[in-house]
Amino acid sequence: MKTKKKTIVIVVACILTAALGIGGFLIYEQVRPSRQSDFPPPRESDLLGFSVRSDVKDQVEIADLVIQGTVTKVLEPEKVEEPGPVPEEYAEIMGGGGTRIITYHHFEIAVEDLIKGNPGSDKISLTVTGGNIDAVPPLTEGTKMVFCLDDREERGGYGIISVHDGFYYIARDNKVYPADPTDVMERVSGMELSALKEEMRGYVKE
Amino acid sequence: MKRKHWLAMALSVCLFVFFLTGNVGAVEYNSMKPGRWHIIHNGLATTVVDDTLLDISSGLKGYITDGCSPYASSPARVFSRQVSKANLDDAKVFYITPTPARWEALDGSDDTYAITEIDTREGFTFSKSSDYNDYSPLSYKNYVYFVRARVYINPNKSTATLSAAKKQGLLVHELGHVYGLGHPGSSTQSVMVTGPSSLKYTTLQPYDNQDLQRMYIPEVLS
Repeated sequence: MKTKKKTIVIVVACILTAALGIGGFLIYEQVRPSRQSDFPPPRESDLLGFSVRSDVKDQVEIADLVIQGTVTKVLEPEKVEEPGPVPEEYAEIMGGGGTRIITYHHFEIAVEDLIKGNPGSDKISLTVTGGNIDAVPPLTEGTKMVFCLDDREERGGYGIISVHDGFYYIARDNKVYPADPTDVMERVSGMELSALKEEMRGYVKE
Repeated sequence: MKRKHWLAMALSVCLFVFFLTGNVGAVEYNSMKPGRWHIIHNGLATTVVDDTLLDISSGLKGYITDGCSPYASSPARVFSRQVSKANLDDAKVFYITPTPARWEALDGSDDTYAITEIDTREGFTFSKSSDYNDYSPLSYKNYVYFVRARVYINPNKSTATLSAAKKQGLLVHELGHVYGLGHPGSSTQSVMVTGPSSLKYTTLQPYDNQDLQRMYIPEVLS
C-alpha cells in the first residue's frame, strides 16, 4: 500500500513537472523577444535569370505603393492564356511565340498604414506571377508585413517589385524582419516597425 | 591510339577551349551605337543581322547571332545531378527586350535584369534550373541538343545606368545559362553568381572555366 501510494505520488509529480515545463516553455515562446529565425528562411528563384538586390531606399524608390498590411485571403490561382514573349512575326525564327498558360496567384491584403502611395481603398489585391511563387515569401492568411509593391495599372491591383526584397515580416513585438536578410538588409533585422516606417517615409519625401 | 591522333585531339581541345572562352568573354557593348548589342567572336564582328527586325520596345534591340558552343552540366548547387550534355551546333542566341506586359508574363519583378529560355531540338523549353534535372533526354547518346536560346532583357529596368563592363557581365551571365551553367553560392568567384554580389565579375572566372572544361571536354573527345 505504501509502495503504491509512493508510486502514485511520483507519477503525479512527474506529470505536474512536465506540465509546468511545457507550460513555461509555451508562455516563454509568447513573451520572448522575436528573432529572424521565427520567420521562414528565404527561397531561391528557380528561373534562369539575373537579379540584383537592393536596400530599403531602392525598394521605396522603385515601389509605387508601400504599406503595412495583413494578408486576409489567399485566392484560387488563375490560369490565363497569354501571348508568348516574342511577337508572332519573329517567332518562326526566334521561338517564344504562340501562347502560354500563365498562373497568377492572387492575395487580398488589408491596408493598415500607408507609407507611400494611396490605393484608395483599405484592401488591395496582390498578384504574383507563377514563375515567382516558389521564391517569394509564403503569403498565408494572417501574415503581417510591410509590402513594397508595383502598380499593375491596366491589369489591376499590385504586383511585386522583387521576389526577394520589399517584404518585411512584422513580429508580435512590433519588430520587423526582412524576408531575405542579405548583408545589405541585415541592419533592418529586428528594427522597430515605427523606425522602419519613419525611414521609408524619409525616402518618399526625397 | 597513334601519336598523331593524340596531337590532333590536343589541338582540337585547345582550339575548342580558346573558341569557347573567346566567345563568351568577347561579348561587348558597342559604345558607338548606344543600346545595341552584338557578340564578337575572337575579335571579329559577327552576324549583326537586320537591326530593324526586333524593334519591340525602346532601348535595347535584339540581334540574331550565331552561338556555336557546347553545353556542360554545371556542378553549381542548383543542379543536383549531371543531367546530360547538349550541343549548340548552329544554335542561335537572341537578345530580346519584350514589352512590359510580355515581361510580366515571364517574370514580372523589377529586380530581374534578364531571363534566359533555351529550346531543345525536341521542342522543350528550359527556363528553370529544375528543368535540367527534370528533363528526360531523348537524343542520341543521352545528349540534350539546344537549338535556340532567348535572353529577355527587362524592359522596365534601366540598363542604361549600368557601366559598359557591367552590361558585358550581364550578357556573359546569361550566355553562361545558355552554356548550361547554374547559379553557384553567393561567395563563389563566378560570373554566374546572382544576388548581392552579382555583377562583381564581368568575364568568365576560373571557377566557370573549370565548370565547363571539367564537364564538357571528355564528352567532346568521346
